[in-house]
Amino acid sequence: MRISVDLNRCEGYGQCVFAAPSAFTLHGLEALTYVPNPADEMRDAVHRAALACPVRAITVGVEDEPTRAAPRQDRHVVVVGASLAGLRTAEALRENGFAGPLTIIGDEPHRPYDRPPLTKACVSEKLAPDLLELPVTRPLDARFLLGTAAVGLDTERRSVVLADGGTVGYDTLVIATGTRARPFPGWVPEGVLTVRTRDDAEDLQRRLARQPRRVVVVGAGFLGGELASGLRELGLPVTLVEAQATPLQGPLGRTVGDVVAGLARSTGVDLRLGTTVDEFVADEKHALRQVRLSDGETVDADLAVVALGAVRNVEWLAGSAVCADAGGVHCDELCRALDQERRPLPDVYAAGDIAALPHPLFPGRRLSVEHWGSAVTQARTVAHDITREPGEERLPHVELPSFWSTQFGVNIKGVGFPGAADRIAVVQGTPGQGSFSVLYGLGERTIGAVTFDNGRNLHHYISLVREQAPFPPGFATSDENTSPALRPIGC
Amino acid sequence: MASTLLKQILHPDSRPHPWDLYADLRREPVSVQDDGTHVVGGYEEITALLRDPRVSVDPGKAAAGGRIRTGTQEPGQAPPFLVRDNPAHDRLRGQAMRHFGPPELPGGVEGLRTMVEDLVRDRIDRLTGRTEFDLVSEVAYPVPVLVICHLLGIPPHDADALAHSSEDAVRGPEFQVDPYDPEVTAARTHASQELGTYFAAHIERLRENPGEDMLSRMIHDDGPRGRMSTPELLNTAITLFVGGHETTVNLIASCMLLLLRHPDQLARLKADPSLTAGAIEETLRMEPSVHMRARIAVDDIRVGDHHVIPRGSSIILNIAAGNRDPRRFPDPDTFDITRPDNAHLSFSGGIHYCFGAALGRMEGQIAVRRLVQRLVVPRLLQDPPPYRVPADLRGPSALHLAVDDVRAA
Repeated sequence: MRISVDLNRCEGYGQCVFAAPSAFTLHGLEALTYVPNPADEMRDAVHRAALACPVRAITVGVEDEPTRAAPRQDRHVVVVGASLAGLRTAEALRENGFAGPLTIIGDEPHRPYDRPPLTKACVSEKLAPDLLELPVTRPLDARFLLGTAAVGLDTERRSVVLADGGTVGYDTLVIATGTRARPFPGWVPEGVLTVRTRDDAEDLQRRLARQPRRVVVVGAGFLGGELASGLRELGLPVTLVEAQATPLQGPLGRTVGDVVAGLARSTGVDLRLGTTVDEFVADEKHALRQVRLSDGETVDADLAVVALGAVRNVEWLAGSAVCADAGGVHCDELCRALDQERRPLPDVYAAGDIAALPHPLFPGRRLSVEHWGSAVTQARTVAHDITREPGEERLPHVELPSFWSTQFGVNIKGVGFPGAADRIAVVQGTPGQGSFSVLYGLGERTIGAVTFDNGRNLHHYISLVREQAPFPPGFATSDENTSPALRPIGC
Repeated sequence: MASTLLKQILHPDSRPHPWDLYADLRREPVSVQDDGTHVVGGYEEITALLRDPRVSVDPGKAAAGGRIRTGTQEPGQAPPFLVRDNPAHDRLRGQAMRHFGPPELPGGVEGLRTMVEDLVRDRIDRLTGRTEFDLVSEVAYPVPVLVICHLLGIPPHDADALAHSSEDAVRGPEFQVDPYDPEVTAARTHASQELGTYFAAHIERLRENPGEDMLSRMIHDDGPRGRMSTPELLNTAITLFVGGHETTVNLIASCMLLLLRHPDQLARLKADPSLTAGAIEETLRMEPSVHMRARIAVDDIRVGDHHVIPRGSSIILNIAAGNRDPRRFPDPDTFDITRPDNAHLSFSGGIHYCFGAALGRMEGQIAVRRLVQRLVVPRLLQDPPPYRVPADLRGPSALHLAVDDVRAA
């Protein structure tokens, strides 16, 4: 059986752990990991765990068997991109009653799998990446063309060109080609990796099994922090190199970043802030031996992971009518892809990391949000618009971005656009002393919120962000250890 | 407009059928009572308030003269985590949870499964040969009491006297028609003293002669959060004892009551025992063991578009009303043991989510599964059954059944 947990929904109650302790694990106050394919003899316990979840975040999958029903005379929907956004779009289409032929094209040879564990449980718990195939809640009855990248698009002829020269015609197209890891800007020897795919994570696991002397992680964003944290859990010496003044400074600001820096150091990470990698030094076999840093120091290391963010996979759209650039595929609020004149292209949609959408909080701007949750909500928007009956209401995508990250024993959850804020306000607890919550303000409105092991209060902060509540906030909380503070975000 | 709806709900006459009053409650986001109490019965509103950091559980933060009475704790005592805000709540709860569940003891409750199965089998075995009995006194009541005694190292022969005191001790002032009723107050004080005296001596016994039980481990633990003080141990132990059985009794009894009222659902369950967990969840939704929880606003809180709960106000969250909110649950009054998306509120939510939910669920699942398997042609002799006095911890005081036979295990 296959399961997945929506960790945006999860509030860390641990009821699944009580019911099925060999399938689910709680770390610290509220961070959950789980075995994505529990053994069949655990079926009863996992079923009880799913029913016990107070927020119904656990999905127990069904077999994706072909129903062999002759497809109705309906449109042919082609989804390019076989990851979370593509899979959830297909699932939502079937859920909405779409009965036509469905094709899913993916450049990787694998069926859609869950990526977040690649930098979390696959490191700290040595979870095998080939177990991460995502469950489906209903048979998709889809044709999967896997290991076949799309390399071109002709919207006039409604046809996708594949790497092997073949073409796939469509009536409706969903672009969900996501991102790839941003490579290191310079020469890299053997032993310098990025982690974006299953194959990457398997490669990392093979190298970790050889007990590297030290691992250098380049970039202390979400993935870099998760990797460094997991490597420390394995007992490996870790150097974490970050160009900015704190980890996560871009997405969460300096106050919160300072807390993460403290947590990282307390677990033994050799954290180098305001520092970049000048050069990777190889031995005579072209294998990594040292990392030369901008602070003048040289670190002996035989493994390095580059976590400098992601690049959107838009190249295959070059020359097509779709308006796409480094910021992603430009879309309207219905996830419809726009042409060069910023008009919606007929029957072309985008979802997931690649989609750049307007948001009611930031009129006039287009934001691409690389969060797991946005892939899921945009998939629903796309599927609704495709299957909408004439006259049925259109449902624009207005969901707030939401995200989670588990690092250094803490569960970080957030909502909105903390990275766009100019000030933060501490509203619960004291940063650096256990659980706390902060709100992010831009001018006089609240645009984001982040909790550290306080996810059970996030529900309230989501509503503040949604209604753009006045900033700074003036409310009192029941917590008796709150040190209210208002600070510039500190860029 | 000030209402007396809460007083009607709390009145013992409403116990068998409070649902119409709950529907009245849901007509507006907040029903303001004549004594200034704010009662909330909508699913979304309750969900939000349970997770709202401006909401407290500490009676000391309530404005004087309200339904939730300040100063109900004796001075010098250490109130249990149930009525503590953070950071004290997380520390005290964590010190207890270490010996009960995740993260430190993930298999803590599953490890009790065999013991619970044995207890249930024994209680049903005792019914062999009888064709009429009270399910509450024979099974629904003794099973949870004996389980919690086991967990806390209490000799089973002390259970009855303790459970009797516990019944008075849980009659919280906020759930009395008159929160200042001197008779109830006196009974509660007396019962609390009795429980306090017993547990003080019990803790000293376990300090000298620790057992394998959870309370012994709490007494002798030097965990990362330090040791609990003696008053903290005392109040935590009493909270676990009371919370550990007052609620599960109702769950087992209510589930059997609902199944006997809905023979189609009982037949489905008989045919497929794997539906038991779903039957327990649906019982929790429709007939929750805890109908109401009390909270205090520590700031002005806007609910819906027009209502403001002023700072210091007593708030009553009617989670049983929320569980039947038609805006959240389709056909909310229909008992469906396979109901999808059954995210009921019965174990509360937010940081005060029920400590023992997993144990309650397991006891309920095992008891109901075995009863359904072993009772031959069970039927209700009295419907509605008599109810226990409390409006918040609502459940049948007796469930008189007739059966053709009791099968061997």
